[in-house]
Amino acid sequence: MGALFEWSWLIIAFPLLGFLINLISTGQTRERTVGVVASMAAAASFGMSVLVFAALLARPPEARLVEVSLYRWAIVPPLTAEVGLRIDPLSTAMALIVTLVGTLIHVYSIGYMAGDPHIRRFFMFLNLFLASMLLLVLADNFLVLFVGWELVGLCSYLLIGFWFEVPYNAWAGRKAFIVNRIGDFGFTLGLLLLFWTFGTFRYGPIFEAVEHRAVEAGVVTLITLLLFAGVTGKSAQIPLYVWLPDAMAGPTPVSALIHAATMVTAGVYLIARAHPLFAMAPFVQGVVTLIGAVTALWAALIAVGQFDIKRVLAFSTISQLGYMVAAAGAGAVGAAIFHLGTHAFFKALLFLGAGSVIHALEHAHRHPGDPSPFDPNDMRRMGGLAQRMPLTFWTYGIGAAALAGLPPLAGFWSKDEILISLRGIGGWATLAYGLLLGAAFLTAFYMTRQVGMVFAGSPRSHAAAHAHESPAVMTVPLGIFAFFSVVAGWINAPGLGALSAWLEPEHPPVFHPEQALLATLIALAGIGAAWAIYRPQAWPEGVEDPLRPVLRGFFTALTRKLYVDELYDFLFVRPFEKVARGVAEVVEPYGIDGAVNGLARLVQSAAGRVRRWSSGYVRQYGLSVLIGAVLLMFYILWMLR
Amino acid sequence: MASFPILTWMLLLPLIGALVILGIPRERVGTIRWVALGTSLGVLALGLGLLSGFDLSQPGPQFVHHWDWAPSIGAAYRVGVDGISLWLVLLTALIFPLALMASWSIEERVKEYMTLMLLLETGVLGVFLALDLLLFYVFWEFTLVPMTLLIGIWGGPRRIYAAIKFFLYTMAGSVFMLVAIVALWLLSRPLTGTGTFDPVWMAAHLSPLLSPAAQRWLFLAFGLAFAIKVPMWPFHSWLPDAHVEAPTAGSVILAALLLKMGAYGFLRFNFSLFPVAARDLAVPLALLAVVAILYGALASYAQDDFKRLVAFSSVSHMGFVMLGLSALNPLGVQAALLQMINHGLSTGGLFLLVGMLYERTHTRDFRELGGLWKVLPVYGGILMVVGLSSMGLPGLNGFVGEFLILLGAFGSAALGPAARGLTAAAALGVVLAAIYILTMLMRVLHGPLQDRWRGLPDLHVRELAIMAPLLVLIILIGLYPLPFFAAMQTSIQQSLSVFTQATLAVR
Repeated sequence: MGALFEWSWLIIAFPLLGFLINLISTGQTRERTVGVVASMAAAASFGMSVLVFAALLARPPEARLVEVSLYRWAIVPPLTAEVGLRIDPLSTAMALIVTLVGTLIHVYSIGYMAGDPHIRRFFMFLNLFLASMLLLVLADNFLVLFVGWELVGLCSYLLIGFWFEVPYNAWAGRKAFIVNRIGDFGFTLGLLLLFWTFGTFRYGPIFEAVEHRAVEAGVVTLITLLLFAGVTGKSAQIPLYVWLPDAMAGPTPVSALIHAATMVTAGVYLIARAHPLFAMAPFVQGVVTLIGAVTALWAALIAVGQFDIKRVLAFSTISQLGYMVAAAGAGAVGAAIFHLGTHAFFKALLFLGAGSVIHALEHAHRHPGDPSPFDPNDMRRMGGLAQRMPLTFWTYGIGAAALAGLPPLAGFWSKDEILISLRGIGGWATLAYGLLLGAAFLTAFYMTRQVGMVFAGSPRSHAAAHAHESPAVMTVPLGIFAFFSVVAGWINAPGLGALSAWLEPEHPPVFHPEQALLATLIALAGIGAAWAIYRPQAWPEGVEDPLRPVLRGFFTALTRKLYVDELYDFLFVRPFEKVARGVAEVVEPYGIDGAVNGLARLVQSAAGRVRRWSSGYVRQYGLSVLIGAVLLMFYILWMLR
Repeated sequence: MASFPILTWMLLLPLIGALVILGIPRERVGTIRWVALGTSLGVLALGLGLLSGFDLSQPGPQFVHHWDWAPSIGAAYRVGVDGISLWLVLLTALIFPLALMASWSIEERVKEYMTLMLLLETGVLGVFLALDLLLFYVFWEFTLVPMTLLIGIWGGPRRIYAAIKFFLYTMAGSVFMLVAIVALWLLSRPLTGTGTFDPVWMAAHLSPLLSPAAQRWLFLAFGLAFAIKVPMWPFHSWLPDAHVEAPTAGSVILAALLLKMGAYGFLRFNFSLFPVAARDLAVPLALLAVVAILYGALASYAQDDFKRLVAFSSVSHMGFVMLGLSALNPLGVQAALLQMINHGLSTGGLFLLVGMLYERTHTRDFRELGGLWKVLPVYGGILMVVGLSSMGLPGLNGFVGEFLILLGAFGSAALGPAARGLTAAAALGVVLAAIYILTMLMRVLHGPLQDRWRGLPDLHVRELAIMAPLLVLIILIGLYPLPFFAAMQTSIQQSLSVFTQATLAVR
């Protein structure tokens, strides 16, 4: 069995191979083949992940750590950097989630992207995305993790801006990459400090040193804080979450991939991976927990005021990531990864379901040849789709219920575990617990609002009235994801606790009936409140949103995402541009270059006064420079005498 | 093989090629081009021979060819290659054929153009190979003339201004270096009788005798010449003008090779000859480097001219190189040396790509471009890879250099308590690089396509052949930098150990 681990690099290599095949096979390949190659590469990676997982499972719990060294990257004293993989419960669990969700999204994309002229490029990037994420997850040191970390940033940029002819898409892709890089500024500094503290980037020796208390707690506090800056970028937490809502500019399968598998989960994974470090920095743990919880509530609030079907889901992701970050910050790694897994399924389901709706509306709109501009994402133009798209409706409903945390669906179990893990710690964790309960209410509220607006009542546009169910290549993945959205939570249900046994054998999941009851009641309250407002009977025709008259100005603020983009624009973007312009248009020509040209003129006129030369510039300048140099030479010789 | 003076042949071959071209009638443009390209490929072949025979374990110069042409004043023709110069020599041997291929579209005075290019190649190689200060100075100044003429004759609308500025500015700096060289020679006379220009001898016997003040003055005299060439902030303002006006090949050689001469000079001479001063001045040097990183990046972002953007990005990138050098530790210096190569590949590549675009659109103004990925898929893909390399994306070469420079600077003893603050500020440059590179990509490749760019032809075979070696190296260095570091390791270790010993001896 040991030999299998030596081949675990294949998990990364398969999608990379798919990328290369599609890169090289220019021109002649049929559109279908491209997608099949990419999907098979993803599936092979999943298969390999299963094999590695099984091999690891066969080992006794204390021996479930295999380090595979691949090659030496660079040796520059005192740095010895190797590329190696770490096969352990956490990395294999992540690899399984990533490859399973990733493969299904690949398959779905064959249908969704059919007919796109750049489908080859699309699948290339998709494969590269998967490979990068797997590199990140499987790396055995922080440096290689960072390589994967940046590469997923690249792929998100490429895919968000995939339809680059539309300026907004290109802008959104760039925004994602830049905001991530801002977080990675902190991450980079954290890595530098990490290296000069521990003398290595490898997890093993670093965690060992931490365990033996071989380093100062203050340094670890700073390191973890800097690493967390990277997390706020990648996992879309306050203050760097602003890129994610715009990331839906990409094709819908990309959104599903980013939100479920290959991007935003990286930050949560990093906290989980670096858990021994965070455990040594209780202050940072408090910060992480609180930021996660505040983000969860903040984003859930904004989601209530969105009209774009995907934007609601985007803010929902930010909110749910807040849950995971809060749990990981509090040291509940198992709960965080559990929620990461269940969320991957139901959020992928919801995005693909939204994709199905958008796809249907677009076709219905284009069918009568109406050239008028039409936003197929706008929920105000939907309604009544339950009868027209029953498969999409039912699967979407399951996803929404799972997200809202209704028992016995997936989200219920994982959210419950997070809430329990925050109880009894006291201090900031208690505050976080309260915030997360509030977020749970809002989650149920905005999902009910969305399902009501999209599927209930009567159609509010021509396109909605003529929408049809999507083809099987799209609805079958929906069914699969719906299945997982129901059952995925049972993997760690009380009594079974398989995931916890795998990740943290010493922490079996706990179940408090009163906590479960409270969470369920809160979810039901959210659903009830939303239904009271948004049920078709309570919603007179012509009213844009029945919540607007209730909340008035605050609702407008919500629809404008609480003006955070405007604030950042005012605080950072515009000052930056002003400074850059100032440098290029004032300092450079008048300051630096002005001084140089002024000096040249001075030398020229001085030389001219000494003697009139008839020839051109060059000799004049040259001679005066020479005179100066000779003087300097004498000075130096005098100094040295 | 040992007796075959391979380095001297590398220096002679372009001169011979230039002579041959002078004998070809000027109408036979095709022949002239092929002779020039063939010559430079010959140099490349010699360079590869050099690589295969290079001994990694030897810190000192190899393939040394020595001839005492003026023993009475202690001047010698002495060339050799070590771990510090090896990659720069090979980069030179690689960039020239690519630059010549990119010059196929030059139609005007081809004979003179090709002659000058070959002369320039000898000059640049000489700078990296010379092991004698006087010889170094001769080659250093020798490069100035062909480059000035290339800008002044084949350049853009403001070529005369740019050429004169380039010439005078760099000339003004190198005069100080000449003074310092003469001063060193005068100081060596009482010790040797004849005086010497041998920097290795000076480092061992003369430098320890110099007072700290003397070291500082000499450091500054050399340093000014090198700082202007790098160019370090605030001596950079000749660079954007020279780059914008130069023909494509000129920009490529300027960015990829001539700027490296400055950084190389710091490493080769300033640090070994004046270690005490280097240590004392490390912090101000690093400070200027950090200013260059941020200033260059900000200025780059605000440009509307593609070529000017790349020029200012050069200022920023060379700031990273200087930061790594001023760290004075193996990590920083080795990474800086690799970053010189990386910058040659990526910025050289960007200038080539700007040139290829300009030949199609006849504009470099971002406001007139946009959406070009649609019609130029291959060009767009390559521009993306090279641009990402320039912004230090992991997996590509730029990351290796930049990240290890930051790592070296962060733990630098020479920078002392300022190390962490300076490094953090420099790391901000990585964020800014993302901003200006991604904005550039957006403004060139993304957005709606203008009607007049429809039907623009994508890259043809010659252009692909130019870019291919650059792309291969960009990816290879990114994924597997080990051999590149291995070749420079022992030489740099030795040069840094000399440095620390000398510091101790004086202190």
